Parts: sequence; C-alpha cells; structure tokens
Amino acid sequence: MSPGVTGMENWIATAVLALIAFAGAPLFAIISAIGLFAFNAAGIDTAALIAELYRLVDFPALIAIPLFTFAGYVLAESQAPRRLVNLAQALFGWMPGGFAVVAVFATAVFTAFSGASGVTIIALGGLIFPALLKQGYPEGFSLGLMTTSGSLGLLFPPSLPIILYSIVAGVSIDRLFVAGLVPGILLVVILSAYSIRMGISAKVPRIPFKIRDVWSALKEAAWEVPLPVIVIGGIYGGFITATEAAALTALYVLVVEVFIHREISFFRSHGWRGKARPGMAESEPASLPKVIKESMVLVGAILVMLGAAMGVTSYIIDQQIPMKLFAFVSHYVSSKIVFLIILNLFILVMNMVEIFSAIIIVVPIIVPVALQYGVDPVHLGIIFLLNLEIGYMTPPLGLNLFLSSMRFGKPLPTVYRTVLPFFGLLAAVLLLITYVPELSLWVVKK
Amino acid sequence: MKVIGLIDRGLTVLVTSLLVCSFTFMLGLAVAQVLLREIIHATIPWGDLASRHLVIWVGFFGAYLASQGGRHFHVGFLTRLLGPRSGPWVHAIADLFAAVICAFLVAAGWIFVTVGLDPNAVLFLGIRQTTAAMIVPVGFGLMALQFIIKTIQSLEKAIHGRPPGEPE
Repeated sequence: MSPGVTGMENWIATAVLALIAFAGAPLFAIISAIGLFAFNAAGIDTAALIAELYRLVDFPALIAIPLFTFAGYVLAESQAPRRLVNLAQALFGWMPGGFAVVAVFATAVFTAFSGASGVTIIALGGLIFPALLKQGYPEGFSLGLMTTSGSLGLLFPPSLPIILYSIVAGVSIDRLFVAGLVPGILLVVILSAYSIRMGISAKVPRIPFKIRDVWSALKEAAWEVPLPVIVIGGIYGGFITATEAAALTALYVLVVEVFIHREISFFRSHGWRGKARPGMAESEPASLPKVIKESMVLVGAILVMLGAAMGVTSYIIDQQIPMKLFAFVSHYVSSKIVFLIILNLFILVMNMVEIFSAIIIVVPIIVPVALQYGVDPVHLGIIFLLNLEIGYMTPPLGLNLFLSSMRFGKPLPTVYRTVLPFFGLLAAVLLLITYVPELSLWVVKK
Repeated sequence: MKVIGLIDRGLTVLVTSLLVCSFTFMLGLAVAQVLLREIIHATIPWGDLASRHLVIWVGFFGAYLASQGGRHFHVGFLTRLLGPRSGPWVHAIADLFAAVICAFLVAAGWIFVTVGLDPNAVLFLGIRQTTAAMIVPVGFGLMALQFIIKTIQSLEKAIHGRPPGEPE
C-alpha cells in the first residue's frame, strides 16, 4: 500500500479495511482511509488529500452531473415513463415482436436519462413486464428482457456513467457521447432483432397500426418528444456542449413536468401520485424539493467518493503504480488483443460489485496501462462502459438481477437463467466493439 | 436519546433547506449562462466558477443526507450474512469507522483552508476562496456528526433490540 511501511503492516491494514468495507462502511470512507494512510506513510501532509479533492472545481463538466441527475429524477417521478411507453407502442406495436421492441426502445431512452442507476426496472418494469406477459411473450424472455433493459441505453447521452468516466479518465465528454452512438444503436438493434424473432416464434398477436393512436400518443407526449432531440441532436450536431445540454435539459423538464403537466408540485404534494396509479412502485408524494433532495443524495454520494479517490489517484500516479503494473502485465502479456480480453474479464467482475465505484476506483489505474498497449482512451471508455452495462446483469452479483427479482417477485436462480441468452448477445457485441475500434471511433474521427 | 433524535431531525431540515436553495441558485446560474451565451453572446464573468463551487456545496449537503439515509455506496454483505442480533453491532463499527475518518478529513480540510489557501484571494463578488472552500471541513464535520448519531442509534438497537424513539 505504501513504501513507508513494512509489507506486513500493509497486509494487516488491507485486511482490516476489507473487513470494515464488508461490514458496510461507506466506500468513500474506505478510500479516504487508504489516502490518509498512504499520505501519512509517505510523509505528505494530509491536507494535500483535500487539495486534490478540491481540484474538482476545475472540471468544467462537473456541473453536468447534478443537472442531468436532477432531470432524470424529475422524469422518473412524473408520468413521462407511461407516455413514453404509449408512444413507442403506437409506433412499433404493429411489428412482429412489437411490444418487446417497444420495451427495448423505451427502456434505452429512459435509462440514458435516468442515469442507469437501476431506476428503469423500478419505474418502467411495472408497466412493461405485465404487458409483455399479457400479450403472450414467454415469461422467461420477458423477465430476461426487463432485467437486461435496466442498463440498456447507458451508451447514449446524457448517461451519468459516461460523464463520470470522462471526468475520471480526463477524456472529452462530447467525444465520448459521440463514440457511444454506434455501439449503443448496435445493442438496441440486436436486442430488437432477438425480440422480433421471439415475437414470431411465440406467435404473439400484432397490434394493427393506427395513425389515430400514434397521433394521440404523440399529442400526449408532445412535451417530452423534443427532449432526446435537444440533448442527442444538440450534442451530436455540435450545437451545444454536454454541460450546456445539461442546463437546458434540467430547465426543460422542470418547466414541463412542474408547470405544464403539473405532475410534480412546486412545494407540497398534490400531484398524480395521490391517486395511487397502478403499476408504479413509489407511494411517496412527489414535490420539487423532495425530487431535488433525492437526486442530490445520489450526486453527493458520487462526488464525495470521487473527491476521496482523487487524492488516492494522485498518490497512485506519483508512485508510478500504473507503470509498474504495466511492466508486470507486459512481462506476461505482449499482445494488445490478449490484454483486451483480460481487461474485459477484469472489468466485468469489478462492475458486478458497483458501477460508480468501479469507474472511480478502477479507471485511474487502467487508463495509463491501456494507453501503453496503444488502446485509444475514447475506445477504452466505450469498452469500459459497455462492460458496465453487461456487469449490471451478470450473475451472481449484478444489480439488475436483484432489482428484477425484487420487482417481479421471482427467485434469483430463475432470473439468472432468463438473462443468459441476453448475456450472450451483449457479450458478442462487447467482443465486436472491443476488436473493431472503428465502430466507436469512426464518428469521432469524422 | 430524544435529544439525539431532535438534533438529527433539526440538522436534516437545515441541510435539506440549504441544499434546495444552493441547487436552485446553481441551476438558475447555469441556465442563465447558456441563455446569455446563445442569445446575446455574453456571459456572467464569474458564473461558471460560481456554478462549479456550488456543485461542491450541493455535493456535500447531498453527501450529508446520504449519510443520514444510509445511502452511500457500500459493499456490506457481512451484515446480510449475520443475524438480526449481531447486525446492529456490525453497523455500529462501520459507522464509527466512518465517523473517525470524517473527523480526520475535517482536520485535513481545516489545514487546507487555513494554511493551504491564500486568505486574501477573492473568487467573485467579494467572496473569498477560503469562505467557499470552508464547505470541505464543514461538510465532513456534518457527516462525522451524522455517523456518530448513527453509531449511537445502532448501539441502542444492539443493546435494547430497537432503534431509539421506537416503541417497544
């Protein structure tokens, strides 16, 4: 852990910290303890740890984190998810496997906006899962799809993990958003194709396409429809930066859901939640201060951990640990391809534990090593984030598996079994994206 | 125990109010910057700097509330493996550890603000850099206090089999 102490002391300290972490101590406290211990052992004043934390104010993209998180929470607390599903059903319901394709599209958009924190399964699961079963989709497929879709859309803007990765790795947020476009679409297309195949084989009846239904759903969701256009179009078109998009998105959803739809009250709750809408999990009333508080609790938890990790990262770099790690790894692994396979397996295991923690803790160590192997940092970001997406649904510890089991009342082994075909599809896309960097980079280079 | 509950609730109300006010100001400033930039091609000179400092303030208030609600990122599968009798003891150890680390961070933060920063440096609108950075020791101090409260509550639960204030 530190050169100033003996190997035995390092091992004891590591074992004690691991035990306290398993006892449930916050990870920011564990990381800070490592920082305090390392700085102390190296004879550096611990105030330097705080100086590193305070460097957060120098990151221009920092403000995108609270603003996009707030926007996602506002949307989740409103009836926007229901309107989104209705619109997608009116548009795609006529296709074979139409409603399953609806589920793929709706959850991808919703996850991108809600920060991929598992809220998709909670907010949309109650709407989509019973509807899939009612339409005749096999239960195993429906459960697997919902579990997978909880993290689908993570590669699209304004996904919070992309913003966090860009800050931690020091990569342009706009370039990462652009690089995620093709891989993200590829995932949606492959899952949609699988859904269509399932719809045909299960002989699920198709809903006739009615222009009147589309118009009605479009009218209902008229205020939310421009949102992806503003964010995705604005960033991809180069009209606005990601931080400007964050401010505009936060303002837009605030005005739409609080003042136009009035589904979130300005001060006190008198919104739609009082009417106990079926299928929605929350029973707490939604008011604007409550939404601000809830969203900023997540932001606070992320920022304090990020700040703690900045000190440890500076120590790791100062001690040239990534270089030593590279020297060690390159002794056994000389091929970039073999390195990427090992990297994929390593990140997958890490991401099963907790994704935000994985980004904050692992990225500073991995990036310098991967650069030595000639991996493009933007490409690495997409590989890392796609691993995150798969890690969410990887048995036995992926967060989505637990959420799905809880939300739909199914035993964990059943959930494990149902995600396997989806895991296979996503793993195939991961391999493709890992070994064909152009899939991520050609739009960036244009 | 009632006093602890009162302090807990009072602090939560205070921090939530500060959080909502800081967030509203931060959002207003960020939106104003974008609109001014796009419409009249001008910005508030101190706007971006103030917004980024407000993110830190909002972050610390949010982190305090995360401490209060037990919503920091954690692994903690040991408590799931242990029974209801030993669980609160393990919680108490974890919370006490977090309180001690936060106390060390308060000390480090205080040195950073009082020694590491130029006391005369002004950020914007007459606000000194030391004043803006004071949120670091104050924020960790609030969290330390909250973790102490949680430790006491966990110990109470471990000893009496119930959280304080809850009827037997």
